[in-house]
Amino acid sequence: MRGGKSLDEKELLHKARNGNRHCLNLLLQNNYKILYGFLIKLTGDIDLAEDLLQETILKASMNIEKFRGDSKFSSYLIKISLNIYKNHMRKNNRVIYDSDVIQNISYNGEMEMINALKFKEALEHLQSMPYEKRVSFILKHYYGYSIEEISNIFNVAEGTTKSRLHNTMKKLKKLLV
Amino acid sequence: MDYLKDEELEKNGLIKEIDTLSIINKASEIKEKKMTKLYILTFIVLIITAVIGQIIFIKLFGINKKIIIGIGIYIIASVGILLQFFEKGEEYTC
Repeated sequence: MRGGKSLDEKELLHKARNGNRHCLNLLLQNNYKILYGFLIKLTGDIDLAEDLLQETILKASMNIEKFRGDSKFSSYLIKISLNIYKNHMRKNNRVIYDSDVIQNISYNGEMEMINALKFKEALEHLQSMPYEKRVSFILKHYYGYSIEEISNIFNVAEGTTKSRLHNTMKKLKKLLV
Repeated sequence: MDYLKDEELEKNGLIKEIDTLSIINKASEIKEKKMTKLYILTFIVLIITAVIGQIIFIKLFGINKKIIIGIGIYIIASVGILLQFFEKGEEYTC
């Protein structure tokens, strides 16, 4: 998942920028699951995550010529989705959290139910964090983004990102003890 | 926090399959509509400037062969440039 951009992604991007829909589709197929997972963790709401995902793909497709390829394609998608999410939050002026998210998971035995509860608990911990800290933590912890990449997404100094991550880890450790 | 890893989300059926191609097609439709509006606007501006240009030239220099040829070249070149936008093709394989 991590590491430098592969040549394949560069080639696909080049063709996609020249109007090749099939290459753009391949690029999106290779990356949309990362974005989907990211949005579920960011919003804590499955339906909202799906709406944001679709809107992000639409905007990314419409503006693919503007993407110069100086970062990973998944970073490009994440940046777009963060803007859409911020606009959505501004319009709705509230934090949306679907407490029934657990109902979307099917579980049969006791163990699976415990897992589902732990899943809900983890999601609630994430939602309790401020926006920037939450995003930084998700990108670092789940997707292995570097401090530099996260700082670029937020346009902040690397020290700010480090401090955000440090504070988030400290808070999470307290919550999980 | 590992319960939120993408593998777990996928295992629990929270990450669903998305038809990205249909979204791309929708994006293309929206873009085409925008471009069509832009082409129409450009064409209107082209016609207006051509007419105004003709009137000014005729008023200044009267009707002569050189001016008619000049206007003709202007219209052909402008239409040629417009057509180039329309003919921007697409590869169908990847």
